[in-house]
Parts: sequence; C-alpha cells; structure tokens
Amino acid sequence: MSKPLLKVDDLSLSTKRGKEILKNVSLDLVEGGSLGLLGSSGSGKSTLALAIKGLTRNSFSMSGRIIFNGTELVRGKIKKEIGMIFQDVASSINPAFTVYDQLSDVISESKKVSKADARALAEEMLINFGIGSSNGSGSYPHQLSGGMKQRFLVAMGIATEPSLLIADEPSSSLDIFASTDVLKLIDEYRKSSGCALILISHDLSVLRAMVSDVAVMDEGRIKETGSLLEVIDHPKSDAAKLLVDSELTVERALELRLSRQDKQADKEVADVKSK
Amino acid sequence: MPKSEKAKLMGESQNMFNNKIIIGTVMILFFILFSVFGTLIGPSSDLSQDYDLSLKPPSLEHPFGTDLLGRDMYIRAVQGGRISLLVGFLSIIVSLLVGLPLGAIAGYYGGWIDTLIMRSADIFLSMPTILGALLIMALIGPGLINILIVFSMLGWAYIARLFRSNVISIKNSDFILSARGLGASGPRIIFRHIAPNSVGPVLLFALMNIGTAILAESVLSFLGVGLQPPVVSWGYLLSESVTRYMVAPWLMYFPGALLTLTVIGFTLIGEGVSSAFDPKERYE
Amino acid sequence: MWRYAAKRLIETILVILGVTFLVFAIFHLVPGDPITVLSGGRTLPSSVETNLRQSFGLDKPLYLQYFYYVKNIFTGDLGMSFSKNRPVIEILKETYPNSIRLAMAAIMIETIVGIGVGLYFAVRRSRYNDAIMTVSTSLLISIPVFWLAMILQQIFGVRLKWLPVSGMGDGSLRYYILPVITLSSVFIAYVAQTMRSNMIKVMGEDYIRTARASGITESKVIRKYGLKNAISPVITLIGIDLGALMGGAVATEVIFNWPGIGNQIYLAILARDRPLVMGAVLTLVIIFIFINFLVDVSYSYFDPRIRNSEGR
Repeated sequence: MSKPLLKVDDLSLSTKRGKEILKNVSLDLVEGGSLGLLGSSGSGKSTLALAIKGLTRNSFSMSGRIIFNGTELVRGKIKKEIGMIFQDVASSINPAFTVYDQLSDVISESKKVSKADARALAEEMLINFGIGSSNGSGSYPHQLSGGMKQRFLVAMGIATEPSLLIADEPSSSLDIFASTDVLKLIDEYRKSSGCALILISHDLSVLRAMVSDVAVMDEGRIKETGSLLEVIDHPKSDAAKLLVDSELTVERALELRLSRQDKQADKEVADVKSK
Repeated sequence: MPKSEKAKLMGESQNMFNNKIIIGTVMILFFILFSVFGTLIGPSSDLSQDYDLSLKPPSLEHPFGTDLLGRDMYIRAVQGGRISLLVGFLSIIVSLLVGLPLGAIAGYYGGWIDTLIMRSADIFLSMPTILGALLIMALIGPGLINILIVFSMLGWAYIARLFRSNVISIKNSDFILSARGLGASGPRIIFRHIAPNSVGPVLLFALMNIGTAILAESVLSFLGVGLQPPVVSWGYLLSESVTRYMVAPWLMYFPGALLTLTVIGFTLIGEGVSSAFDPKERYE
Repeated sequence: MWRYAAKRLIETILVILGVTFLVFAIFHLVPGDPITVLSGGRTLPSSVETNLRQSFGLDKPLYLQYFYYVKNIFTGDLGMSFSKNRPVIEILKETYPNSIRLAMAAIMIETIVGIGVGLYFAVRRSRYNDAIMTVSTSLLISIPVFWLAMILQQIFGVRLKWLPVSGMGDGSLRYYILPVITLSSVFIAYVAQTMRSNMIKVMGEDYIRTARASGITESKVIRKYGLKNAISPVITLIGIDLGALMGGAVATEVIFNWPGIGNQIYLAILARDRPLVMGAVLTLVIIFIFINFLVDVSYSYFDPRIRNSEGR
C-alpha cells in the first residue's frame, strides 16, 4: 500500500458575492498515483487545481482542508513540491522576458544554486525540450510556436522537481502531434521521478493514455470517482454518463457515417465487430 | 446581460467611480451657482475703491480680504469665477463647432480633403498647449475673444480626430449604406444619421477637457497674455497678486483655492468616466 | 526600425514646417504692418526698421518672405531683442541651460517618486489606500502649478524660512528644492497613477500566476516580473514630459524668478519685446516637437517586440 500524498477534505469555495464554485469536494491521492479530473467547462476543475496549488483569490471564502504530505496547506503559501502546468498558453508566459531567463529564475530559486549553474541547467532543459537554441541566447515567447510554448510551460511546472504535478488541459489547444509531444514529456518526468499526477481534461482519450483513476465533476461537486475503465464502462452519475456518451469513439464515428448510408462504412463496422 | 446582473458584477467598485462622477458634478454645479449668484449673498456688494481699506486681511465684512485699491476680494473672486467658467465652457463649445464639422467631412469624404484636414490637425496636435497659446497670444494680443480663438485653434484638432474615427467606423454600417442607396445627400447623411450615433463620446471627451481649458486660461492670464482688465478671471486675480502675495497671501489663497476646486471637479468626472469604461481598474 | 525612424523624421520635419507656416500666417493676418506688429506700437529708430524690413524681405513677394523666415530660423537668426538690444539667439544660449538643469532635476524626481508611490499603492491595496491615492493625485493634477508654488513659498519661505523662494543663488541644492517640487508635481501624480493601474492590471495576469506557481518569491515577482511588464506606459509618459519640460516651464520659472528661458519670455512679454517672445517660444516649440520624435523612435528600439518584428 502506497503512502497517501494528498487529501482534499470537504473543500468548499465561494465568491465574495456568495456564488459557490466548489461544494464539499473530497479526494485522495497516493504517492505516485494518477487522477484525471473530468468534467464539462465551468464544472470547477480548474478552480480545484488552483486551490490545491494555493492560488485561489483572496476574496474567495474557503472552508475545508487540503493536506499534502501530512501537513495542512496554508492558502497563498506556494508549495514548490506541487508543480502546475497552466492551460492558457498565450497568456501564461511572460512576454517581456526570454524563456531562458524565466526558467533559470525558477531553477535558481528552487534549487538554491548559483546564477551561472541555474543558467546552465535551464539551457540544458530547454534544449532537451526542443525549445532553446544551443548557443544559449534566449528566445522571447512571441518567437515560439504554440507547441513550444506549451512544452515551456511543462518545463516551468517540473523545474522545481515536484512530487505532485497538476496539469490543466495541457494539450487541448494543440494539434495532435504537438499534443502527443507534451503528454510524452509529462510521462517521462513521472517515470524518472515517480511523481503523482492530477490531469484535468475533458478528452477521454487523453485520460486513457495518462491516468488510472478519474473523478467526474459537475457544478462544483465531485459526482463520481473510480478507476478510469470502470467509470467509462459503467458510468453511474448523470454527469459521467453524459461525458462518456459524448466521446467520439471509433464505433460511434462509424455509426454516424452509417446513418448517412455510407456503404464503405458498412464494411468497416463489420470489420470492427468481427475483431 | 440584464442590467441588474451587470450591476451586480461590477459591484461596489463601480459605485466608487460613480461617486467620483457625482462628487465632481456637485462641485462644478456649486461653483457655477457661486459664480452666478455669489454677489447676492456676500456681505458687501460694491466694488468701490477705498484706500482706507487697502490690503485688509479677511474679516466678517470682507471674507476674502481686500486688494491694494481696497476692493472687496470676495466680489472680485465671484466675478473672476464667471469668466473662468465662461472661458472653460465657451472654448470647448467653439472647439466643437470647428472640430465636429471638419472631423465629419474628413471622415465621410476621405481622399485629399481628409489628408489636408488631418495633416493640419497634426500640426496643432504636436504643439504644446501653453507654449502654442503663448506664441499665438503674443502675436494677436490679449483679450477674452482672442483667448477663445487660440483655445479653439489648439482644441479643434483633438475633437476632429476623435469624431473622424467615429464617423469612419459608422460610415460603412448597413443603415448608412441603405440611406445612401435611397439617394440621401452627403450632408444629410452626416447630420441625420451619422452624427446622432457617434457624437456622444466626443461630447464626453470635450466636457472632460473644460478643466484643462480653465487651467490653461489661468496660466496665460497669469503670464500677462490672457485677459485684460476690467475682465478678470481667477488666473488674472492670481497674476495681480504676484507682487504682493508675500505680504498679503489672502490675495492668492482664495482665487487659487476656488480655481483648484473647480478643476478638481472636472478631473474627478474625467477619472470616473474613464474608469467606468475600463473594466480592468475595478477593485477585486 | 530604421524605416520607422525615417518615416517619423519626415513627419516631424513637416510638422515643424507647418508650425513655422502657422506663425508666419498669423503674423501677416494680424491687422497692421508686420513691423508695427513686431514693435508692439513703439517707434523704432529708422535704421533698425530698415534692417528689419530687409531681414524679413518685406519688399519681396509673400512666398519669398516665408522662405526667408524659415531660413532665418534654421540658421539661428531669430532677430534682435528690442529690450536687450542683443540677438535673441544669444539670450537663448545664456538662459536655456538653467532651464535644462531644472528640467533634468524634475524628470529625476518624478521618475523616482512617481514609480515608487505608484508601486506602493498598487501592492498595498485597501479601500483606505485607494482613496488616499485618488484624492492626492486628483489634487496634484488639478492644482495650477503657479498657485502651488505660491503656497510652497508661503509655507517654506515666508513662514518657516527654511528655503529660498527666489532665484538660483549660488546654484546649490537649496535653490532647486521648491522649483523642482512645483515642476514635477503634476507628473508625479500622472506617473504614480499610471504605474499603479498598470501594475494592478499586470499582477492579475496569468503569467504572473505562472511565476508565483513556480515558487518565485513574491518580492521578486513584483520587482522583476511585474515591474518590467507594467513600466513601459510609464516610460512613455515620462518621455512625453521630457518634451514638455525641455520646452520650458514658464510659470514655474516666473514664480521662482529662475534665470531660465521661461522667465526671460515672461519679462519679454512685459516689455512688449515681440522678437524675443516669438523667437524664444518658437524655438521651444520646435525643441518640444523634436524631443518627442527622439523619444518615440527610442521606444521602438527598446521594445523587444517591435525591434524583432520590424527587422533589425
């Protein structure tokens, strides 16, 4: 049995004007475990992630506890053991500094190494991630492609060597190749460090590839938790059913084509079923 | 979005900015009333010269003190207010009268006439207000009318530029095209269709600049190229005090304070309006 | 970037020519013979009048007169001062450095104080602090500078007798304090306001959240990341004021009897010395426009986004 890493205990969060964003959310995660947060947009996934990271706005009122590694987290106090990969690539990178500068700042701050060492480490990391140039000159964010920017945010998220990584829709804005690259980078880091992962996504195929457990959220509540396969095969809550039903699987895609009386599809369906 | 919901989202911060507009408006109304009716409520109402009363500090009988010639400074301050406010409002009105038609013509017709108008606007826009006014006033001489001429020369360009861009943005909308299709003439389209739909922001901008005009007039009068007696403004009273305020500071305290408070009124309205348009400024 | 600079230079030259044309046009539209206008009604010695007629080319057609006028300005021949009986350009050379000293001191103070105050009120937000900021900046922006100067003189000069209220004395720091406070007051308010509102905006951006989430300390987030992102409109503002200050500070110099160009213009107005007024003010307007051009072009050099995108 692995040691528990994160425990969210009856967490509720509401705005100053009383709008509830999270209602009685509880969840557990063991060391090295992986959990997908599934839900439609506005269901509170991202807010939950920010709350765990300690980044909720001060004006929000919060009740409940978040326990990480046996200690209760204080709001506003950033734990570098928790890494975060943000969703909005365009706005989450500072446009006024080179990516090289930003990453070496994070490294020197977290590893307490000299500026020169931090620079060397940052450069190595950027090259490994396919972002930096080998001559060490930094690039400004506006000179990077969307995939490079997302990979840079992964680098920022894991630069502090966290034991829990939270990734908020890390691939949803990217094309399929760039998206696979990003997921691979996250996977490689997990393999080498054994860190736990919370992955927010509304894409079941991404979750299938990355996590073993899943929590389904709707309107600020957790409706259902369980192993990913269990939830996909036998969704219990309405929210989970709706999400699973809306996934465009191979079979469903073919059925759609079938409904248009596509003869080629006829044969393909037969092929799939015979396997 | 329904209005109530929007109000709720904007929250208390929105009230703060509305407060700025309300306080500013109340202040300005107060000083307008003061300037118009102030002579009726003062303890004395005559401006006769009386050398026995020369340079007396404020008293019950002369709440703002007296000047070198023994004239009551309260009455003079009220009269100065009339002119200061008049210059502020009139110079903006004249600027509008010049700037709006030129902006409309430039925006509606485009082409060489647009280039001509906007290039000359650039010249006025690039001139520093006080120095530019000083330059022209030095040539044409002091006086109320000349001040208005100079301020509208320097002020029309902003208004024309702003109105032109509004006209251009509305010119190609469907309802203008359909009016044109029905054979309406250019001036008719500008007056009946474009102006009512685009003049609002320009008027607001002009209103916010009244305070600037009042300040600029005070500087010019202070430097001796503004007004000429017997027409006095707050700025003129301040320039009169310049040789004596070290020994008789009340000569400058009262006109200066009235001037400052009036301009603050316009500044507050300006800040209130611009932060109401800028969602980022709201207090979380 | 060079293309942009060249385009702006041409625009600037056109605008300066436009200003000279405007002055020339008004000069000729004002009723009366140009020489009478210039002399302000006084009778000039006939030799002086002949000289003037010659230098303005008054017997030539109008377009040639304009040509002479522009040529004279750009060769530094701004005419003779009536009251001082000396070339205007000499008087400018003598007094302008004192104005620049004052302007530089004011720019320094408004940059340091304005940015500092703006940052403080951006980071320490509360209903109370926000109100202090609003009231004090509105006051500083609205107060006529020459009245502020009079008040400062009353308090620190007449009542407390701490500081000199007039002149430049031996040029020591004491003489600078009140004029510099006066001159920088309005832009301290503008700079603080702009700094604060930009900083508040920037500190709410996603990339600041990224920096915080990566474990960078709050003070570094503010000092390095927040400041650099928020400061460029503030620099723009200071650039605008640089132009305005180099264009002289007439009212402030008059009140403090500062031996600069602004005070000279005022004395010339009193003496109805029109060549001196027109020559000095026109020079200042041209300097103002030209400095704005320089400031404008230097931004395009310092902003990495513009520098990189428009080609080196």
